[in-house]
Amino acid sequence: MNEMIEKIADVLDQDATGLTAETRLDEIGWDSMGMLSVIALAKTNGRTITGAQVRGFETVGDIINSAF
Amino acid sequence: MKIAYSLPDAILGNAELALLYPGWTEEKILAKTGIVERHVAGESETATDLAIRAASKLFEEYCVDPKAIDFVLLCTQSPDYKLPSSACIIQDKLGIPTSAGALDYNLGCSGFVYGLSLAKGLISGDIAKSVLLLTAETYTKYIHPMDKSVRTIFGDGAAATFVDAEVCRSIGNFVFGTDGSGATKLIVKTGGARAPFDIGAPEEEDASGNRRTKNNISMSGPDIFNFTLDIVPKTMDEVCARNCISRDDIDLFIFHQANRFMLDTIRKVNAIPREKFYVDLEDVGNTVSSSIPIAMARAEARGVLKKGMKVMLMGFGVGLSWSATIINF
Repeated sequence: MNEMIEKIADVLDQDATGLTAETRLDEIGWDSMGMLSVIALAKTNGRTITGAQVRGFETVGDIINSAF
Repeated sequence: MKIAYSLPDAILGNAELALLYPGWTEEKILAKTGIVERHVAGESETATDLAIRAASKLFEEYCVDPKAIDFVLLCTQSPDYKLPSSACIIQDKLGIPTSAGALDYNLGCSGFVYGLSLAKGLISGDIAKSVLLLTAETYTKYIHPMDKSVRTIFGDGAAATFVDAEVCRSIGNFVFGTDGSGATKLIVKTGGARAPFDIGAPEEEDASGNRRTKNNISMSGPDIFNFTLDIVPKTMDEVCARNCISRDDIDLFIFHQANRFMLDTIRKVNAIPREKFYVDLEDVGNTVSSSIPIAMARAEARGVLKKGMKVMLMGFGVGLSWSATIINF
């Protein structure tokens, strides 16, 4: 879990300290660039996140569940 | 290959954009898009004007006689009028003989490679001898000023390429693709036959705070990104197979210059060596159908693209549409 949060923090240009699965994305500057970064992260893990899915993400946990 | 290009004088830089979009610093815009500035057409400056300037530069720099042109192809999604074709206007303004053929075709990011195929077909079919291939776009005129998802990316510009039998011999086989189910992923919904321009269209705000009306460009970045990641590897394999060449034999990859993040991801996912993957959009942005010829012209000027190199060209985007070929430069 920690490793996944580190990777998410890295692609979102965020400090991993304090990030949890419950962290709300709208509190950490979630935007269209963040969406692309998460899609790219998923791709490197062999997973695909659609546009509709990523637009529905609300928490870091949503990213964890889809990108890894 | 003789290529010239033209950019509007007015520039929109990241400093100006950062003032408009809270939380988006100059550095962030550059880090994610790879773009510092983009050129923006003036109010009375059209894609046709840019195309004419690019063609005039081509004629002057390469001593091409406009009277020798017997076919004009213009790729644009920003024509001067619904009718007549802007290519007809360009024929007249450039002093190209009235015996020449001229037509517009409506494509975006895939447009230059499509244009090479059309030119090659005209020449190979002995229909034309000297084709003036123009790509010209002013997407900024469709963009809502408060839509940072597209305003940070797109720039205006035009390119002119001369294609004759000698150039045709350097152009290999093509791969094309179309997926109209993705039509709404990058679209201007009004102004065509389906829906007229709506002067009273209400502004809408998306979840990222971008504002637009249906008269403006609407782009689903995530869907375009996924589409690109899906089709690029397959198209690379297919165009290599069609040209009986392996990826390792390609000297340079010049793809549509969408934005740096997308290009970096494409390069990494497809394991293309950095030194072979040309990225050059920092001071022009995404110029749509002109992005590949502008990149080619600049790569040659910088000594990166050299005579004899095998170059893979690939355009992908609005439509959804994609195209690729390999040229022996």
